[in-house]
Amino acid sequence: MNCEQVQSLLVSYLDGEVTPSERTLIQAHLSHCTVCQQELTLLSTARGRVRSMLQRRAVHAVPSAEAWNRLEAKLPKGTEQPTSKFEVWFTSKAPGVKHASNPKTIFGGVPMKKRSIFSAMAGVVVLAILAVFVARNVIPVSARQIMDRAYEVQSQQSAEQGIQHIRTEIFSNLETLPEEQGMDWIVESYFDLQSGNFRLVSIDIKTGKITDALAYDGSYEYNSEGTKSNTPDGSALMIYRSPLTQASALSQKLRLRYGVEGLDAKTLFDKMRNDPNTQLVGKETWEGGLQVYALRSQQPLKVLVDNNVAEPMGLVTVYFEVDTYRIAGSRVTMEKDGKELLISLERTLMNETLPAGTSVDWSLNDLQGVTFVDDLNGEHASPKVISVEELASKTDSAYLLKIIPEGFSLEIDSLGKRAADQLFFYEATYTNEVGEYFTIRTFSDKPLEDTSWADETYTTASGLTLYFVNQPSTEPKFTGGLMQDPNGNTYAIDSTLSRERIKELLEDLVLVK
Amino acid sequence: MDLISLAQAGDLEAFAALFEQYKNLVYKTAYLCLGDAHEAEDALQEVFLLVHKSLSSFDARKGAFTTWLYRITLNFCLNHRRKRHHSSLEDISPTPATHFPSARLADEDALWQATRTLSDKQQAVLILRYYWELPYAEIASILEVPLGTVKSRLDLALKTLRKILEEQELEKDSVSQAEVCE
Repeated sequence: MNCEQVQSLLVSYLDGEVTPSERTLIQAHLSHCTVCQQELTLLSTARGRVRSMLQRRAVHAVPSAEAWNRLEAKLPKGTEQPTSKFEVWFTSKAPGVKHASNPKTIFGGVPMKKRSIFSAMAGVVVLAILAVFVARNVIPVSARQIMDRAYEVQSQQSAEQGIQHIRTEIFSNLETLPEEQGMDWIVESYFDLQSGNFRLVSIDIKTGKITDALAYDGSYEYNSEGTKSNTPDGSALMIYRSPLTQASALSQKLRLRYGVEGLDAKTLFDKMRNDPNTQLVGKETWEGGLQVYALRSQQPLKVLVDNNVAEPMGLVTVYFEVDTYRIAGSRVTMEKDGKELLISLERTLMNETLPAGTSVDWSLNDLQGVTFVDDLNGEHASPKVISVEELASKTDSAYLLKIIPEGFSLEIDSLGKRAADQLFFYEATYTNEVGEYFTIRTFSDKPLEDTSWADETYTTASGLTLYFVNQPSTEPKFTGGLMQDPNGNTYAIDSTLSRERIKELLEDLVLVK
Repeated sequence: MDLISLAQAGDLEAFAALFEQYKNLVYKTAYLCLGDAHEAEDALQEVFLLVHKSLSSFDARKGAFTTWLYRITLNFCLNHRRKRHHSSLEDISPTPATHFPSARLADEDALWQATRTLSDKQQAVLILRYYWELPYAEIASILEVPLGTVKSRLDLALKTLRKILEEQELEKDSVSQAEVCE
């Protein structure tokens, strides 16, 4: 070592922060270099004086006795954080979407999320606008902290390897019937985080029968969707088996897309955590000893009361495991006839990650009381990506924008071939690189009966009328509504764009031919 | 459950206990950084408001609470200083020792003043190392810089101060020499 090298290390040397070999070399150099010895002495003196000066300066520096009182007075009694897209999150949790209650936890998000859209459309209840409108209450910061922590945990979970195994109880009573008439399922899912294989089986708790199954074994998709309603009671559930070529690509593609757009469950949860209408109720201990935090907010629901759409206030509780901050479940109640009525319930009974390679029957061969039907054309498979031309060949009632807006790209998904008497479902999504999107999808072939929920109506020159859903006017913006065309067909629209921009886009919607 | 977890869960008493435990860390750091008791008092308030607001983002697996707290405190204080002395302190190069005006002041005051002429970054490492006696690795973690940067900042800071002290000594010598001559 020369003098320059040694002198550059002298401070670290004095601080004991050099490596043993550096120390040896420095000491060897110092033993014969008076210049560096002198520099070391000067630096050591300076160091000692700086140290004692700082110590003496700070020794009498103490905060005032009033410091805590001052601080406490300034601590927020409620949140200053604006509201969010909680309703989106809730929609995904809502039991009316059948088993698609928690897209992320069930399927790593995407396929299930996608499927839930279609399930919702087919459902009785208007889930696309089952807006859990966020009221303006105050949220104690503690509730937000729990949600933030839970959010972090959610984020970290995505990196896990192995096979995610989740068992959840889901109760649904969006029709506000007496509780014993509500539907109660056990939904069990496995998701291989490496291969993307998954299986989900839903069992009716009351009857013990399989009500729904969906799986992917690497070659085939297994899908019972839509078969139950066509199956006479007592007969076996039909599971369609379709070669999974496109859907595989779709799954990948959607995963990427939703990751970019922030529509994965992680982000959906993020919307919930920013909801200012949430309060920490306290801790509960569940059967089996699981300790959970309960966070609750009062929110207007959209349910059916005596077969009419109603918007009563509901109590929404979400549970988080105390130890892990994972979401443990949710519970929604409302008051009916002077009593508290359970609308939905979700409880995670099991959430584990099995070692990679754990044997799971991805092909559903272990299921009893089901019938497999080969569906080589994929008529009953999950949504598939299709071209504009394919869309035009399948339906004459699909709308697309005349021109894809600059910077946006278009993806069209459909539910595959449908029987002649079945409604054709498509979803067209325009996205750009910054995550903005505009989506239009089939909703129903019947006109809207009730539009009282809309807070704004806009009709285009071509006679399309959009009924905007009343959304909290806060960031991040999320706009949606239902559109009705002159033929009485209805479409759900949602977008991150402003209402004014959406209106402009509506003017550009044309029937695909 | 530890204090931090409780505070994260919204337990006000736990937060009060955290404040009690760490108020000196924040206050003394702020005082040494800002050089003023009133400003340090304000910093204490503001830093703990920030802590309260963002406690949920603290993850014990990513580092110690004190590391996080030092970071918040220093960021706040250095930002505050920049705002306060916008023109003079934004320049990170130290004031040349020859311009240092306090050679006539008492030694310790002079040294204190001398440290005030160092760049923000150099002062931060000086406080963390020579007041709080933190290892370089922790300082690097607090300031989110490589270890080598901590070394070079301390090296530069101490050598700058050494020169100032040297000049003080020379000046003192010349004054006493003049007195002898008289």
